[in-house]
Amino acid sequence: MTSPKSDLPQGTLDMLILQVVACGPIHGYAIAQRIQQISRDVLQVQQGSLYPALHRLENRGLLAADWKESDTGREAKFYKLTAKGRAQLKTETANWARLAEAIGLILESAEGGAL
Amino acid sequence: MNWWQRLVRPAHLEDRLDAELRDHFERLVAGNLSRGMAPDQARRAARLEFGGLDQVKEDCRDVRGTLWVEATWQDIRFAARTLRKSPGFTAAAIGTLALGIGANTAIFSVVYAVLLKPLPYAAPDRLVTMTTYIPQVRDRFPSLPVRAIDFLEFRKSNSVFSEMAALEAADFNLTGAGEPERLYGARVSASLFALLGLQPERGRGFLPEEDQPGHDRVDVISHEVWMRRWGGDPGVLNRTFSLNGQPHLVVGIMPPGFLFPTGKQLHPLVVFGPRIDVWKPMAFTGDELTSEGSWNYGVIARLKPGVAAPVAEQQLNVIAQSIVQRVRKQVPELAFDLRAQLVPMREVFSGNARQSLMLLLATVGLLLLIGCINLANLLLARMSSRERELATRVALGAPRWRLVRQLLTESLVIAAFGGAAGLLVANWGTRLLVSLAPADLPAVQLLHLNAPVLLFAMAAALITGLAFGLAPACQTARGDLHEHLKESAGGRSPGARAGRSRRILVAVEVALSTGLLAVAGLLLHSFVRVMSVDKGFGVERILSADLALPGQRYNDRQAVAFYTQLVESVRGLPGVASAGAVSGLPLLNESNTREIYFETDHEYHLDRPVAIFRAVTPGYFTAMGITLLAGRFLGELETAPVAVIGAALARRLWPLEPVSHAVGKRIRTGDITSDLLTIVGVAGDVRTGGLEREPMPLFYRPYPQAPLYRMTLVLRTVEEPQALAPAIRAATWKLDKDLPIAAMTTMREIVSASVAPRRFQLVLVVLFAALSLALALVGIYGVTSYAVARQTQEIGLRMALGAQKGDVMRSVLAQGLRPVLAGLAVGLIGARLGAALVRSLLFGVGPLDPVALGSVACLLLMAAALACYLPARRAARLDPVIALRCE
Repeated sequence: MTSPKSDLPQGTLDMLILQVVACGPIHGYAIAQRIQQISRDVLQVQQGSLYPALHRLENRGLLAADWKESDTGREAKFYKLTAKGRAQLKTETANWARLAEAIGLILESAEGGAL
Repeated sequence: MNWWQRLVRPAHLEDRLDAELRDHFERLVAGNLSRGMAPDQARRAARLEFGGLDQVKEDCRDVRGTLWVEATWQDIRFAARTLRKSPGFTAAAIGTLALGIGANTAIFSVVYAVLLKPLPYAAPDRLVTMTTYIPQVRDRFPSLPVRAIDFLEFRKSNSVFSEMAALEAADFNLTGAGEPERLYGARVSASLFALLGLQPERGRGFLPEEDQPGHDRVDVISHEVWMRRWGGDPGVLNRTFSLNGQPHLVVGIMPPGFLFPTGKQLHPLVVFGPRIDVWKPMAFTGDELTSEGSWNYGVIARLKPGVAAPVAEQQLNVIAQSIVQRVRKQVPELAFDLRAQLVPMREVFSGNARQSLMLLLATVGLLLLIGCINLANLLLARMSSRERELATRVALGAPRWRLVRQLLTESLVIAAFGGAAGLLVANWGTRLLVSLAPADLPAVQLLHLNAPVLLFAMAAALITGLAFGLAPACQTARGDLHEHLKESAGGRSPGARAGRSRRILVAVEVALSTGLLAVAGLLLHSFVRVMSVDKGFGVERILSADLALPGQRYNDRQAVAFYTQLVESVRGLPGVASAGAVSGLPLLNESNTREIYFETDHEYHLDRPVAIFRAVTPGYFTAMGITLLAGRFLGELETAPVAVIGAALARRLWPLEPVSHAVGKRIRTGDITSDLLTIVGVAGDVRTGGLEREPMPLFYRPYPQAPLYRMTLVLRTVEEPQALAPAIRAATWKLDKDLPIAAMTTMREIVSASVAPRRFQLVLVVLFAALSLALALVGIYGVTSYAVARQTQEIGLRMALGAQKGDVMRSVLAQGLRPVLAGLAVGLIGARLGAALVRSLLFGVGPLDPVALGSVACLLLMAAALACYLPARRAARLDPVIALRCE
């Protein structure tokens, strides 16, 4: 909680979720944990946005869900990527990379240019 | 999970969502514990981190998508739950709608059967009836049946019809097999069944060669008479029966419900029986085919595909021209012209019912509209008690369109129930209509609720649901809901705007109801006028029996002897005051007419009056209660050729002289070469073709001088006339055991039947108008009571400040009656327009009839005052102390 936290840009949560789920079946709590860990606590996902996003992705057929027994002994809902979800992740990742590159270019040129 | 599972197992879905979130929460707690927090603290921290659980759930539900079926189903269930909570409102709403939709559906099913349903023939749209007219006398005879000789000419020369058939009524005495029976029948061209596209269900139709005299003793009988008389015995086919004393072979049986013109449906001058039992081939005789032949035959024809009726008429008129040329060659002095006209076959069966049915449909539609307004009113009232609920839901974040949708769903649920209940009402209502309907509506076909009628009911339910649900929904959408929260907090009288729209609705309701009541009042007054016209004959305790002597067994002399003896023996029966016989009863028909010529006429004139000819025995005038204006009635033994004429004929012949001067004058009837008749008396006019029609000129001849075989026995009785029926049958069969007696009716029944269409229309319009008034009163009462309830505090304050009960009452009454007066004024203006539309249905009253409109206005005002009085009295009885404290 020491490092400053960043809000997720609009629309990127879906992509992050897809990326995390791509590694294998995983439940909601673990998704949130994983995003937080990987981003070194920069990105914190609120339950209030995580679950609606998960349900939205499931509803659009990008994720599939299964109820399975988990480490706690209780049943938990495990999400996994569908073929459609995998394709979506690929395009979104590519888009993101292009966008990040473009933004980087603009920021660099602005820094280097004579203001 | 598919939408169906989502629809039927929403609880399962909720459980799963709950479990998923709980799992997350438990993991948070576990994480906190592992970081060394105390259990209490761990849970609290987790709860903090988790945020609003319900908010998350709601978001997840939103994301899941408002699948429209699901949302609709939710709305419907919610609506049903809300409605169950206010059973009084729900019952009132569903009841109003059931009545409105039921009445509309019932009337529509009649309209459908009579005006819209395709006739049960092959390609019925191309079927037409053909009549002729003579331009010179068209004012008196707008259309004439066709002469036999002309029919053949039209059939031979035209190229516009694929087939043409002539029809004429022909009744038969069936004898030799049980009790003699009068069968109603028709002579038809052999091609008629093929023309209509219908064949007998058993046996065959007529062969072309059977359309020749001498080969025509073959019959096709109706399914109904086959069942009734012969119990459906198939052995009837190819058996011979005695009809009118001649052997006839039954060759075919028509399918059940075969639609054929009855009564005056085909043409006012081609009068069939009330049903058709027997058809036989037309087979024109040589007599019928002379150019002097009568204008007797109805014609049905089928247009060739692609030929329009006006085109066909043109060609027929060319043929008519050639007919006229030929007649002129033979009788040069007869200067007449001839035209043909076509009418769609459908109009034969809908006839003049169209306007009346349209009036009923409009009336009942207005009733439904008033019902909707009432419901909108009820919903608005309900809204104001639900304002807080709705405002709270908006404040909690419910989107406004969701509320609008919810309110509309509620209306539609009410409408759906109302529609379902309405179908029950309609089912019952159609039966009622059938029993009320006049005989000339093809009512039997109405009984089943068929697909178009069901569609109509469903559409009516849907439209009404939207119509009455729109007002409260709009109010919600307009978005003054936040005001309500503030308003009620401030204690001000809220919902002022709703109150105003409700008063406007009441005014509209009153206006519509006034219009309906005004039309009902005009029709009622017309009916009273119709019933009180001077009929010219008696109604009470008069019995009539139709008889037809078969020409094969009787000659003129024997017929005179038969009727003379019959009248004599019937007059001697106990309970009979007087008896006579006539060749045609008043009201029933205007057929059998003759041109009347002056003594001085030596050539034909088209402008001479045409008068109905009646052969009577002397007792007829007394028995029927006909008045004598001048001269004398006919005596038992008239040696010279004489006649008694009706006053209308006297006025037509000698318009400048008083009718009494006709006595002693001489006329010829039918032909300028016929015997001169001396007028011995002038009788009062009788209504010949119906109570609403001016009496036609008429003359009576002594029966022995002009014997006819079809006569009607008329007797005036001392007691209830029907009691004498068996004695009359016995007296008749004593003279001729093979003579059937077709119908024994009282004059009261005949008068009643003659006004049946008007009564039918009147009863329904008055019923609907009364219902509309009842609905309007409910609306007035509701709005006024509501206003009183809202103003309790204010009234209490005024009373505390010294206002008298009378003042309070006056102010409530004034407030309640203001929209009524506005509505009444608008309604009376509307009634003026409405009355203009129904003008042709009125009789003896103007469209601005002050009696009808005045009583309607009074009735409405009195009823409205009563509806306002009840809440006003309640207001006046308020205890100011309690009223002031009331919130």
